[in-house]
Amino acid sequence: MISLLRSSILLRFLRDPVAASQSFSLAQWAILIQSARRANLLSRVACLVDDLIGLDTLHQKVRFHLHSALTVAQGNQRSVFWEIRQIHQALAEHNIPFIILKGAAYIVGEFSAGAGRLLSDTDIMVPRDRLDEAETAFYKNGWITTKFDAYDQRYYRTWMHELPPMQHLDRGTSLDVHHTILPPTSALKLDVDKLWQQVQPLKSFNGIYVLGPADMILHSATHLFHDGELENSLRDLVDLDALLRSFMSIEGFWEYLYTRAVELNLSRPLFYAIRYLTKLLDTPVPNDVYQSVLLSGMPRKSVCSIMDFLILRNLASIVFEKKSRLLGPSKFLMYVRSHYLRMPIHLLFPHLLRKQFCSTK
Amino acid sequence: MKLSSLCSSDISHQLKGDGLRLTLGCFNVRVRSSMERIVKPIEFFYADYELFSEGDFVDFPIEINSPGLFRSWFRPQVNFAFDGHFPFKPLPKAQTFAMFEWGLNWVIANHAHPFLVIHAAVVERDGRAIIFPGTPGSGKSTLCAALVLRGWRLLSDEMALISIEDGMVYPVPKPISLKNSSIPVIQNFSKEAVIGDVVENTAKGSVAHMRIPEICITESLKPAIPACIVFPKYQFGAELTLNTLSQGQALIKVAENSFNYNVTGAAGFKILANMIDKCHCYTFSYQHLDDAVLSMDQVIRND
Repeated sequence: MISLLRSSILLRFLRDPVAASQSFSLAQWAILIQSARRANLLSRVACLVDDLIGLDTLHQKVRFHLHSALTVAQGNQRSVFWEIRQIHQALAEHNIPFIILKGAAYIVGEFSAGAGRLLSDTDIMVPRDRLDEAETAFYKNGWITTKFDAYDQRYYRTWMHELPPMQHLDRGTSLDVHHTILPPTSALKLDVDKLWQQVQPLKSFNGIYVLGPADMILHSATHLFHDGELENSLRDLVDLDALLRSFMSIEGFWEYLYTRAVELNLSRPLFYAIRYLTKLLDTPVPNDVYQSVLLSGMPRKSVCSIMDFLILRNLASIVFEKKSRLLGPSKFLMYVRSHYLRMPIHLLFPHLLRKQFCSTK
Repeated sequence: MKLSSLCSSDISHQLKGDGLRLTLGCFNVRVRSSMERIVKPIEFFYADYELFSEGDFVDFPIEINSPGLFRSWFRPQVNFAFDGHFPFKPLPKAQTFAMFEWGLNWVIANHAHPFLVIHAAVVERDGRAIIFPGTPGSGKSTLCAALVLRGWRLLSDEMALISIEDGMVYPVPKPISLKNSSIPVIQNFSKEAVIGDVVENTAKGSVAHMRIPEICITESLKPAIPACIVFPKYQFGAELTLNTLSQGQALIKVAENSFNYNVTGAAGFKILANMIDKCHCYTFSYQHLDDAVLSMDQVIRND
C-alpha cells in the first residue's frame, strides 16, 4: 500500500514539486488537479507551482484551474486576516490574550505551511480562567452559539476542550474557542499551562500568539491522529511536512521536539506523524530522532499494523479515484477509535446512544 | 462528434462506465451515473452538444448516483458528487435531472475564478450582450427564454462569466430552467418552445427545462461584449417601465449578485467597475413578454 501511495501523482508532486511540474504530461496534470481537489490541497498545489515555476508556461487548461485555486487561496488569506483582526478587537477590549491554532496560525504567522492552506473555521485558544469573559465578549460582538440543544451545550461545557462552536451573524464565519487542545476526558492528559509557557507572540498584533514550534507540530499531530474526521488527513500531513521543514533549521529542534513530546505526554501522536511523513513524503527526519521517537511513542506491533491499515486505506481513498470496499468500515473504526480516545467508556457509551437515537434533527 | 450520434444504450453505457464526455462552452465535463432515469433527459436536452475525446483534459468530473444501497429502494434518493465532495444533501430520485443541472451550475460557479461570476441570465445579439442579474423570482429566466425564442443567442440562463483577462462575457449554454407559472407562460408564448417533464415539489417549486436552439451550442466558444445590464422584475399588472440606473447603484447591485466577488478581490472589483463604465444600466418591470422582448430589442439597438 505504501509504494502504491508513493507512486501516485499527488504524492510524487508533494515530494518534489519542481521536478514533477516540469515533467508531468497534460493527463498527469489532470490527475493531479482532481486528486488535489479531493484532498483539499488544490490551492496548496497552485501556490507551490506559482512560487516555484510560475503558471505562465503551463497548458492553458492547467493554468485555468491553478489560477482559480490561487485566487481562492488569496481570498482565503484575506478573510483569515480580517477574521483574526475582528477576534482581536473583541478580546483586546478585555485584555484577553489568545493563541491562534492550526490553519489560521500558519497563515497569520506567515509560516510556509500557510501558503494555499484553506480553512473552514478559525480555531483559537484562550486561558481557561478567561473563557467566560471571552465568550461574553464574542456575544457582544456579533457571534452566536450554533448549538441550541441543552444536551449539546452540556456535552461541550463538561467534557470538551472547547466551547460549542460559534458563528458570526453577519459574516457567517465559524469560530472554535478552545481552552486546551485535548478533551479533559481524553486518555492522553496534558498540562495546558506548559503550552502557554512556550507561545510565540505575533509581530503584527499585540496580545496574539501562536504555539511554540514543537507544540505546533505536536498539536497538529494530535489533531490528525486523535480526531475522527480523516477527510483532511493528507492535508494535515502536508502541514506537518511543511512545518517540520521550516523548523528544522532551529538549533536543537529535533531533540527538543521529542523531549517535549514526552513532557506533554504526546509521544504516540508524534510517532504516528513521523512514521507516515517519512514513509510517504520523505520528510528529512534524522535517523537518531526517528529511533528515539520510536522508543518513546511506538505502540504494540499489532496496534501499529491496524493503524497502518486504517490510515493508509483512508489516504488511498483520497489520493485515488477508485474507492476500496473496506473504506466504510475503516472510516467507522477510526471514528469509534477517536471517540474512545476522547472519552472513557462509561461516558462514551451513553453519549453515542443518545446521539444515535435522541437526535433532534 | 455530437451526442445525438449516440443511441440511448451508448449514452447509458458511457454514463455507467468511463463517463459521458460533454463539452459545455469552454469546459469539459465528465458525467458518470448508474441511474437509468438520467439517460433520457440528457439525450433530449444535450443532443446538440459536442463530446470531447477520450484523452482530452477533464475540467469537471461529476457523478450522480444513489447515496447507498439502502436508499436505492427505501424512499429512493439521488446524490451529486464533484471530485469526491458532496456539496448538497441528497434529493428524491424524481429530481435526478434537476439535481444534475443545479449541481453542474454550482460546480462551474464555484471553480472558475479566472472569471467574475455573476448570478445572471445572458443573451446576445450582433456580438453584444445584455446581462440580467437577478435574485430568484425576478423572472430573469422567463425573460431570457422568451428572448431566445425570438432569435437571441443564449450565453447562460444562470451565470455571467466575465473574464478578468479581457472583460468579455463567455458562454456556458445549458437548458433554461423554468419554475412554476413560468412554465405555462413560456408554453403559451411560443409554439417553438420545447419543454421537458415538469418535476413537482422541488425546493424551488415545480421545475421544467427548456431545450435551447442549436446555434447557442455551436457558437458556445464565442464570447460577447457586455453592452447592457438590466435588472428585470416581472410584476402582474405592471406597466412596462425602463429606468436608467446610476453606475454606482448598478455596481453595488451586480456585486451583490456575484458568486465570487469576495474571492476575486481587487481584480474582480476592477473588471466589474470597467464593465459598468462601458454598459448602460437599467431597472425594468414588465408584465407581458411580447412587450418586454420588443423593449429589449430597442435597448440593444439604441445602445
